[in-house]
Amino acid sequence: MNEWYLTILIFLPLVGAVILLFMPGTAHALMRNVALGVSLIAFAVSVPLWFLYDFGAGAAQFQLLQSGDWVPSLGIKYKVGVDGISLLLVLLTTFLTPLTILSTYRAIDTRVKEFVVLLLLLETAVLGTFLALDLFLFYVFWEAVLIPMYFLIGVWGGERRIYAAIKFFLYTMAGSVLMLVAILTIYFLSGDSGSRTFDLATLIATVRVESGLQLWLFAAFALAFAIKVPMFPLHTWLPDAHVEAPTAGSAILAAVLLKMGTYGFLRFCLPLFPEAVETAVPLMAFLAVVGIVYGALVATMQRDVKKLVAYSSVSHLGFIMLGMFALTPEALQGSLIQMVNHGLSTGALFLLVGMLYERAHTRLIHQFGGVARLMPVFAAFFLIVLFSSIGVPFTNGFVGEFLILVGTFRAEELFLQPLAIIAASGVVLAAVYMLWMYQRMMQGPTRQPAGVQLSDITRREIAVLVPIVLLIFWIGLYPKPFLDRAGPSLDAVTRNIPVAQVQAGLGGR
Amino acid sequence: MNELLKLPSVDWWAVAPALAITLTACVVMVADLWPRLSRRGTAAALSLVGLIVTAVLSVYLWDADRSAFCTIEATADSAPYGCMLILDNFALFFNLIFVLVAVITVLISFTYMEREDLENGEYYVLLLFSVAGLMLMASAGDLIIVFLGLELLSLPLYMLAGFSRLRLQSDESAVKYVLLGAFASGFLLYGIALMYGATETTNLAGIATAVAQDGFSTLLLIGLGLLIVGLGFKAALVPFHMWTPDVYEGAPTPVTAYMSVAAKTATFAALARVFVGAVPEAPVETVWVLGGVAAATMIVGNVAALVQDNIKRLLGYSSIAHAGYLLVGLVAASVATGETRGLAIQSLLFYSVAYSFMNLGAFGVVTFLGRRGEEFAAVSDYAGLARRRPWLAAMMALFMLSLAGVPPTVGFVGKFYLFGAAIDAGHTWLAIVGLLTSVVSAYYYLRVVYVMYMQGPSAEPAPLSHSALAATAVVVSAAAVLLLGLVPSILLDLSRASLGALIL
Repeated sequence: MNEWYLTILIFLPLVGAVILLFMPGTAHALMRNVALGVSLIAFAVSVPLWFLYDFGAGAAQFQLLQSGDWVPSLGIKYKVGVDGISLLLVLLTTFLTPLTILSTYRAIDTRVKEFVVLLLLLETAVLGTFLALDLFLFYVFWEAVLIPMYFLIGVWGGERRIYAAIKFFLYTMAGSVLMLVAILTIYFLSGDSGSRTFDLATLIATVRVESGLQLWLFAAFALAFAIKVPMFPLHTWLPDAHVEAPTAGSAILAAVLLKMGTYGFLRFCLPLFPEAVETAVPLMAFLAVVGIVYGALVATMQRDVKKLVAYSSVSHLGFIMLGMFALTPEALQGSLIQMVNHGLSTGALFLLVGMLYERAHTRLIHQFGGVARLMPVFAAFFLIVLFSSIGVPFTNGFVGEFLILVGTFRAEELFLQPLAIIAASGVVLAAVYMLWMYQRMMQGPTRQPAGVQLSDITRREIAVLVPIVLLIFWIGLYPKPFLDRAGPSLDAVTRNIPVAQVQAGLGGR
Repeated sequence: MNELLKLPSVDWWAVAPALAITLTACVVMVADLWPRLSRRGTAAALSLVGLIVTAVLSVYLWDADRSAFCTIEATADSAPYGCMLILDNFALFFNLIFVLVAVITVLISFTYMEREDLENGEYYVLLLFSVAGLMLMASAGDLIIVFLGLELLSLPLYMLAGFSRLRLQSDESAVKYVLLGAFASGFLLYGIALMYGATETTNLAGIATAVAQDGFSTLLLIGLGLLIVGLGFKAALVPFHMWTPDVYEGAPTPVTAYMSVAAKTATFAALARVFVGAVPEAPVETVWVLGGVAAATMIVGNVAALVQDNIKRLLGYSSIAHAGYLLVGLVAASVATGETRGLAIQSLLFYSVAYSFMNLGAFGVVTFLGRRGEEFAAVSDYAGLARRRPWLAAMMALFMLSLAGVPPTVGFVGKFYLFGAAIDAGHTWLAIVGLLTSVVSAYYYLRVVYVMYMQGPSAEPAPLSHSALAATAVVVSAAAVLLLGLVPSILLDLSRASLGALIL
């Protein structure tokens, strides 16, 4: 039973999608309810992971492992397992998918069947990406994510949807094919010390890559992940994809798909290429900080609120990357927790913007004013999520950003301290663009787009937002259960990196 | 007297598959003359029967390692070297591909030929003769057989390309193909002559022995170069690809489908025979030339396909690109030794099957659209197909994604395998070029997808045929593309067992 646990979780949405495929497509309400049901079952199945996962001292890094031959002649295995890092991201995925499906009940009324089928396929591919422990399997899931997302943006998106969909697809694919070359190179290297394998644990344990080649391989992996994150200056696909995608697509994209990039860094780059990681710290940290400031400045200037949220994403992901490459325990924990936070807050922001757009059919900030009087409940939720995004104390955002900044400031490399100070300005800027936007849209004299009568959010929409807000406060007030689960796994992925060991106070040089 | 008339002893089993196909062709030809039998479908049905018999024969002969027409005295351990025809598993593997390709072609031809009013027995006869040519090429142990096979394959194809006699484009296609094909044959023959001059033999094993003794002479290198030119024409490698788009566009769609797959894979089978069998240690220059050609083919094919508006031209340029991918496998096979060489040849075999399924499937979908005179062949005619025929569009999307090499399709596994072999053989640069051009290719394949899914049908949508036969072919291809993408082991193990005489 335990062995099949993760496999069942991964493929449950796929089964649901196949069932939906053979149901009549005209019954829209039925389609939505079945899809919601399937995603809720997937969530229900995933919740026990939280308790099953053993994070005590001495527990195995990967648990609930399942491993079997897939293509034995090439040493390709089907191997899945969960650790503290993937645990949080898997739960984030299963938690947000039903909410996004629920959010589309009014927004999507054409080709509903295809839409929900694609959302479920996407969920399977994302879960597979987070749980795969074989490089080949990982790559298959990683690329498979592109297909449903391409259709979600391209079919249900805005005016420039086709441009955005293709840009998204090509950008991501361009990054990943070089990663494929690197994966194959490691695979052949593993033949020097035993039989060739794609098994991550074996590769980490046995393959020693000489430092010159290690830099190249790191670069190939890092490019694929950095495009997905996206890090400055590879972020240009993101605003297009976000703005053109339908609300549910934007929410999933921001909340979950971008985490695939940051997750990839943690899961593969850090343990496989420890020397290269140390060499790359200055560059990665610098780009991360540029991303933080640049994203924030560009967000300030936006007239379209969805674009503003998209650029705020670039800024927030800069924090995650900075924390990761500071390589101190606090910063790494902050980085991981911030992944979850960003998923919750930015996902929720996109959902909120979508709710407003459904009513007003515009997202331009200057067309709104005093909305808080017309939609008080909406405005309240909006403010809470904004606070979370800015990182106000008692919300989850504060925990993540605080840990990242403290951790970065504490790092041994001296240049990280000024970078941390510059990064802190990103928090201030976030307050500027978010609150300024709130002020212009929600307060002041009432202004509505012509011919639109704004009404407050419905009970269904409240049902979408309440769980997210609850989590925002849970992580904000008591993050310990999350940090406890993440800690041992973060130690494990940085075990090979000397500077991380020194900074953790575990070993000398 | 008696001495002179003595026939060489021939192992007829070694020629059985090619013979079966030829006999079927003759039967179809005769049956077609019979007034009562020349009704619709007889020729197609007979061809299918003959093809299936050939497939059964090929399976029966698996692992038998037959050979025939041996010119060099065979010793126990040198067999099947020194023979003109080698029916090892490598040849049988390709025979099965060719039968499969021919069966799918017959299935997608029937409705199309009826619609275009071209339903004639000769069509199937020509098709079968060319299949016999393909089989000769894959089992060639001698350069003469390579040439014979190529001619037997090409002559029927010239006629098939011009089969829609009344359509000017089809005539143009045939003429272009004949002229350039004749040039190619000339190059090939001249190359063979020079190689004969250099080594005093046309036998592949004989050439290998001569090279091992005397080393590479300039004459042999020139001969090899001309041989690459001749076969490069057939496989549509850059810079010998100029004919491809025009011929592919003009020829009847099922013929295009057949040409783009069969002629290409057979040429690669012959190239593998030559490069692994005759010049197992190819000089560095040849390898770099081949590598350069492979890179140029992938780049030109994929970049030129970007701007095509006709679906057949688009698939034509895409097939050029795929020849480039296959050539990467051949380069890997010719530089590597031992296990790596085995891996490279396997990847070539695997990709040949993968490419056959996905390309035939795509062309199969193309035959559904349009009406007499090959109207509605523009990419924009696919607008709204997803709403008119959701399953057909879904399968087309699957073929496009597979051609682009996106998991979980067979196209991905195939590319993974080919480029893996290139990396293992030390030609990482080819893998990088190949994968980056795959990204370029994704753009035009996705264009077909978004036209189908993201644009509404136009005012005058393309008429759609209903054909159970063609539908079967497309569904089978789609199932294979997906299944072999998810469970590639089936085919990988088969290709591992099919190295035949190439690796002894």
